[in-house]
Amino acid sequence: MNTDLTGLTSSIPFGLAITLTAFVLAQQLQKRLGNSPLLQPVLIASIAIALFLYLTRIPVANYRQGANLVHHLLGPATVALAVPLYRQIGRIRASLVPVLGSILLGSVTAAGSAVGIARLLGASRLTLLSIAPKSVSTPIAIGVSEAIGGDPGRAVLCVVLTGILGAVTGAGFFRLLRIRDPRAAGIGLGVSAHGIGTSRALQMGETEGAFASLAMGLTGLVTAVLLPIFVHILG
Amino acid sequence: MADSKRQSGFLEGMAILTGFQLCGELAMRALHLPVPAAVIGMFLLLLWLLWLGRVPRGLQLAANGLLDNLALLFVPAGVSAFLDIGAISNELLAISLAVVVSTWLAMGVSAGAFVGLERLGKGRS
Repeated sequence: MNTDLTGLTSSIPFGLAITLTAFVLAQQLQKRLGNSPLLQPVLIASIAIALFLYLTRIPVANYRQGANLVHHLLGPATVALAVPLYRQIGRIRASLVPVLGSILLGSVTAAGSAVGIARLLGASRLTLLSIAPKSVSTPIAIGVSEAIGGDPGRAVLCVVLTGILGAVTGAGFFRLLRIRDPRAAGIGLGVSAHGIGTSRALQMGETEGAFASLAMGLTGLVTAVLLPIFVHILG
Repeated sequence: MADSKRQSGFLEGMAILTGFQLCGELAMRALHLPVPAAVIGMFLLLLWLLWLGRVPRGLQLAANGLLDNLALLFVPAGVSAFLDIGAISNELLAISLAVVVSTWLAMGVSAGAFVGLERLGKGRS
């Protein structure tokens, strides 16, 4: 019986079905509770599945068998961000200096403030090096944290929590700051919260989505190039 | 008939997307770029679209299908992250405060800088 269950939970349909079901249920929950941006389906579904795996003691590796099929679609989906980017290229070109300037400032702020705050609070050196690339998409963060001597696992954790936080609080945060320009909102989400923030920006509108896609790509580029140099200089 | 036409459009789009992802993979390996293949693929596809001057129908279909459900694709990573929280329990406060504050700072600084620089440019011209 026990071995049968292990076989079942490590089958492809298991991870696939609970990922899709949890996400659809989370979407319906959000709709039913008045579309609150705090109830992002990615947040609710992730916590629900993590809790389920924890309580049933099903190894995450089993879940991954099926879930990886969903996970690996991130590659083509990232490439697809070129489409909204292309549709908005005229507006991006029209404000090229503000676009590039704000992305550069934002990426330096993201890495610098994360390291600064964690250091003030007494985090270990390993954690500092792992938290620095937290505002870029997972594959860049893994590469950068390895390059500068951090822990990739810890880096991925910080990246995902950052992305979810950005997606959940972004809209309210911009309202608080009275930022109404959809281009600024897109850049804010793409710089601070990478792909998860970009998915939220796409929900807000095509302009937000396009500027977020560009910001996400360039933040990754800036971080991947500058961070190893900074760490080398500062030792 | 109409159905088979629509399907081939979608597959054509997926072929374009994965083809450009593969080109990104090639460029990353050949040039030892520190950026993920998919992000390079995104910039390569953008260049191709600029050269082409339009978005092929199949590509639009496939892109819509993926991007309309982009948040779903992050769930597996989210699950692993929440399961891993136990591993950082001794530094949980420092890490969570750093993550929260720096995310908001980066969001505010970049969005604010865009608005400011945009105004500055308009004032000059």
